[in-house]
Parts: sequence; C-alpha cells; structure tokens
Amino acid sequence: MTVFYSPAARPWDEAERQRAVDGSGLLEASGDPELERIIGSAAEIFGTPMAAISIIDHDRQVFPAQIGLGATETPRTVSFCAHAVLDATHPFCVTDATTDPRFAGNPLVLSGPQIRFYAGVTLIDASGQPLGALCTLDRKPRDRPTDAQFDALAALARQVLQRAAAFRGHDPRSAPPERAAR
Amino acid sequence: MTLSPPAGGQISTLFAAMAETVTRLPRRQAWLIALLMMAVVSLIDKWTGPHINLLPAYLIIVCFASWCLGERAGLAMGGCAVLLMGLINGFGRTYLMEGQELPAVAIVWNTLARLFAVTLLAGLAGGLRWALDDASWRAATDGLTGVLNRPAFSRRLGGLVEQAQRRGDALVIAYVDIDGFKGVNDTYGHAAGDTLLRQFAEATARDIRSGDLFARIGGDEFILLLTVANCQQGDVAAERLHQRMTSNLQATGHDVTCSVGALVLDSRQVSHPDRLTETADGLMYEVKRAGKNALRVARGDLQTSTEPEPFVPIPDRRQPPRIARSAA
Repeated sequence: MTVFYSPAARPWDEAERQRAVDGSGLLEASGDPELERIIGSAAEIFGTPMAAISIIDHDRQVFPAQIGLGATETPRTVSFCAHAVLDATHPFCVTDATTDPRFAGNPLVLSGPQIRFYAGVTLIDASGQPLGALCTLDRKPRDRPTDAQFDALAALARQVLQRAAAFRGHDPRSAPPERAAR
Repeated sequence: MTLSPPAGGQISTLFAAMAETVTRLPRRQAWLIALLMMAVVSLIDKWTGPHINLLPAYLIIVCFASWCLGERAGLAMGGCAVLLMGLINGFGRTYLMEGQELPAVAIVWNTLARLFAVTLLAGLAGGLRWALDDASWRAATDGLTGVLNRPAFSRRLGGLVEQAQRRGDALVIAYVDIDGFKGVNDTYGHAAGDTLLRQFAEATARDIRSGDLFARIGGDEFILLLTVANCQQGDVAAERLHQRMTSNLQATGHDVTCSVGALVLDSRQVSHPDRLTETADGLMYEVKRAGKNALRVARGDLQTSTEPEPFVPIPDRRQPPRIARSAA
C-alpha cells in the first residue's frame, strides 16, 4: 500500500507573511543561546527528545534553533509547521503521524527523524502574521498534551518573539550574517 | 459506419519503407550522404560522357535531400544538379553535329526543363514529408488542447525513463483532475468548458520544461511526467506544479481548482515504464478519495511495498559487498 502525504497549502496572503518573516529577525538568529534555552524548556515540558523553532521562509523551513532533528532546514513541502501556520488560533497537534493522512507518507515520517508525534504553537508577530512555529516532536506516538502544557508552550513562543527583536533591523541580504547575529 | 485505414500499392509501400529508414537519419549524416551522392554521380556523369543521361540519378539525390533536410535543401541540391549537368554535358549538344552551335533558345529551354524537373521532385518529396510529419503530430496530439494524448504519452515514457536512468535523475508522475469542471460545463455550456481546458493546458504547458511530458487523458484529467535531480526536488516540483496549475485555473475566471496525485520515484526503481501508467490509475484513486483542491504526494523511494508494483528495490550501497576482508 502506497502511503501519501499532503504538503500544506500556502496562506492566501503569503506575500505579506513572507515580508513579516523577512523583517522578524528570526532568520538571522541561528545559533542564539537564548533560543536554544527556550526550546530546551519546551522539550522538558513535553518530555520529548526533539524540539525546534521553525520559520517558514519561501520554499523552505529554517530552524534557528533545534534539538534532535539534525538539520538546519528542510523543504517547505515536508514541513509540519507549515500546516500549523495555516491555523494560528489553535495549537497544532499530531498524536500519531502514521495514521494521519496528511503526514503518513511524509519523508520526515518515513525517514530521517521518523516523526510520530508533533505538538506546536504558531509564532505570531505583532501584526498578526504567522512566521512559523515552536514545536516539540517525538519518534513514538503520544497522547494529546494537556492544555496546561500548551499554555506553557505558548508562553515560550512569546519569549521567542521577544528575543527576535534583538536581531531585527538586519537585512540578511545587506549585512553579513556574522555581524547580524551578534 | 467505420472507417478502415487506406491501403497502399506495392511500389508506394516499398517507397514508404525506404522513406521511413532515411527519416531517422541525423541531419549531419543526411547532408554528408547527399553531398557524397552528388559527387559520385557527377563523376560518373563526367566519365560516361554526354551520350548517357544521368538525370534520374540527380533527381534521386534531390528527393533524398528534400525528404531528409527540407524543401530548401532539396531545391539547393536541384540547383547544383542543373549546374553540374550543364557544365559536364552541356545543354543538349548531344543531338548536334560537330562544329554546329546550339541556339540560345534551346539552351534556355533545356535548362528550364531541368529546373522544372528538380523543383517538381523537391516539392513533391518535401510535401510528402510535411504531410507525414503533420499526420504523426496529429496522431500524437489531443485535438482540443494541443498537448499530448494518452497513447503518445505512453510511447514517449520509455525514452524519458531510460534517459533519467542514465543520468541518475528522479521522476515525478503526476495525475491531475480539475475540480468543478462539470459545473462549468453544465452552467456555461460545453464551449466554455472547452475554452477553460484549452487555456489551462496552454498555460500549464508553458510552466513545465520542454523535456517533460504533459498529456490529456480524457475529460478534465491530465497526466505529467517530470524529471528532477533528486527525490527531494520531486516533492518541491509537485507542490510548485499544484500551485501553478491552481493559479492557471484561477486565470480562466471560473470557480475551479485542481487535485493532484504525485508519485516521486528514483528512476532506477522503475523496472518497466509501462507500469508507470498503471501507477497513474492508483494516483487517480487517491486523488478522487482526497477531495477537492488536494495535493497528495507519495515518495516511492522511501517505501518498500507499493501497489501496483512498478518498483524494484534499490541495491543497498551503504553496506560494503560481502567479501571477507582480513583486519590486517
């Protein structure tokens, strides 16, 4: 039996969302210890071996910080967070990816990190645009997390956005990343 | 009433068989053969003298050039032939007594007669070739949209798969179904539906690369075969295709979307190209089940068991061959 997956659709105001991503500072924040600390807390709260901040940027998702994924970016097509971005008002949760028709055949489920469980909250900037998600992931299926856990994750997401302000104002195309990431 | 295919006479079928063999000649080779034949014939013409007329031999060269290289090449060869004949054997001197001058009118008439013969033959051969090309184009094309039809798609599949296998490329086979097409037909009539299909097909044909295959397999259903560098690129190509086709459909002004089922494969997995078209039927089933505006992608390279069975397992290159090696 062939298993399929569905890449997330693009938001109808994708061009505006992309502008928000470009101006967020998060694309230049790679390797920031404060962000590393935040996803460390997220993984701890959910008890998962993997956690990441994912920013949906054009045709890819970028991880300014990640634990256990072993990559700094993936194509947007295979991104779980690109699905999370489509509904910014609710946390996005997949308890067993192999039984979810959107993810069963996803390359990140079939190979690589072999994701089974995903829980994420959307990173929404001040203008209301979803930039990406703060998420925790596991290689085995899990029960749906509690509301308290999601509330804690949402609080961490706000910290990510506050931290992003420190990197803002550096256009990655005009300034070299070393200088921008200081 | 049914139409039966036309039957050819014995000489025509013989000529058709000959023409078919030379049709496949590469251009450079055809030029070489034409020039070589011209050189050989003119040498023989010189050697046999003005008493033997070699016009038929020259005409064969003209036909050959016109068929393989086009009417212009045929006419150019014809011009050469007329010139050579004149230079080698004169313009009708054979029938005159020694020392007698040929009247100018005879020179002109004979030259014109030769020119007429070569032009006629060049035109006939070139015209036949054009008719053949036109017929085979029509046979391969979907009459409404101008993209390939299903038999032509299947015929070209094998070559493309082999090429991908040689280069180590990955393949994307995509089945496309237009959602809401029946509504357009019912509300605005079949002419509007036809225009929608034509506009969609023309725009989509511009979006894909010239080496990719794009065919209409019936009604509002299309099939594509794309070649990509690797399977990861295949995912991206499938998503981009869905996006482009969605905006192409929006551009028609009707409330239509498309659903796409795509299978991404390492070309080395394809044991038999014919089975790829069977796979498309599986994609069709998946898309119909998934609902409107859906994009369903399967990564054949990451799955071991698949239905139907177009795959053979890729040899595992991560493990060294099983040859006992001493540690020393």
